[in-house]
Amino acid sequence: MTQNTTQELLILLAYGELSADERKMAENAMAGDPELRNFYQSVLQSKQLLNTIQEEPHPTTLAIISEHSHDSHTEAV
Amino acid sequence: MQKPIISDGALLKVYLEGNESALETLIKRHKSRIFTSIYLLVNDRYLAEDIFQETFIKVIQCLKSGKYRDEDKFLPWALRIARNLSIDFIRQKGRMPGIVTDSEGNDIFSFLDIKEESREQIIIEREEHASLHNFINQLPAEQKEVLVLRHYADLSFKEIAEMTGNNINTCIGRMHYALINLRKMMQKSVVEIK
Repeated sequence: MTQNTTQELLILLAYGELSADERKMAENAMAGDPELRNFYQSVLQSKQLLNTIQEEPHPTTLAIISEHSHDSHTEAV
Repeated sequence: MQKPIISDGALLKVYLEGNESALETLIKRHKSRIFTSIYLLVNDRYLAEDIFQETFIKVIQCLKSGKYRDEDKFLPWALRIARNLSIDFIRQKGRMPGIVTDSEGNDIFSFLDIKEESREQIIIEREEHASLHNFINQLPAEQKEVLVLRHYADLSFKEIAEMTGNNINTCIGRMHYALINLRKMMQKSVVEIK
């Protein structure tokens, strides 16, 4: 397995997209390779940092959507 | 006792039977993921508000006209609409003069009641937040799209591949490069600050 493929496997691991067998394979690859462990840690850190961005729509936007939905219900009736 | 979680499909069914609050629950459940994704894709808060609104107006129209049937895949479907609208807006914007907006959309007067130390902390946090946002925007468009859809929209790589019409391995590869490039930009900015 190339280094890129293994790193991609670790990204899938970090995002919870591996089966039990694949997870085991990724963990075994990391056990014998400190560079891969570092890479995995950096992915987890990046994930944590990315989580600091979380945006919400303005309440007015939500109110307009609700109003539209309500109006289209009324029209249908 | 924890309240049972009603599935998106069940909420859609109840909504179509006339229960308006079911749509509000659905929006409340997914608004942050959808809005953050739109915002990062178009990089403009006001435009993001418009696209978010238009996305849900389309969602409502499709639901009421009976065009939507895949009840268990509400989020990927809504995100597909949001993504297509975002791409349309980006194309339009490319032909228009640049729109300058406040990326944070914060009320500057809200600082007035805050103590000096916490105000400083807020400024630091906002600067870090703005830098990260800036780094994401510097990524090549294909990498940024996969990063936003995987991390913020929480779609699987398979769903992203279906949505964008790319091979799943291409999507994973783009995510790989996006993370590497983000890391490099962050390290560079730390070195520059030092």
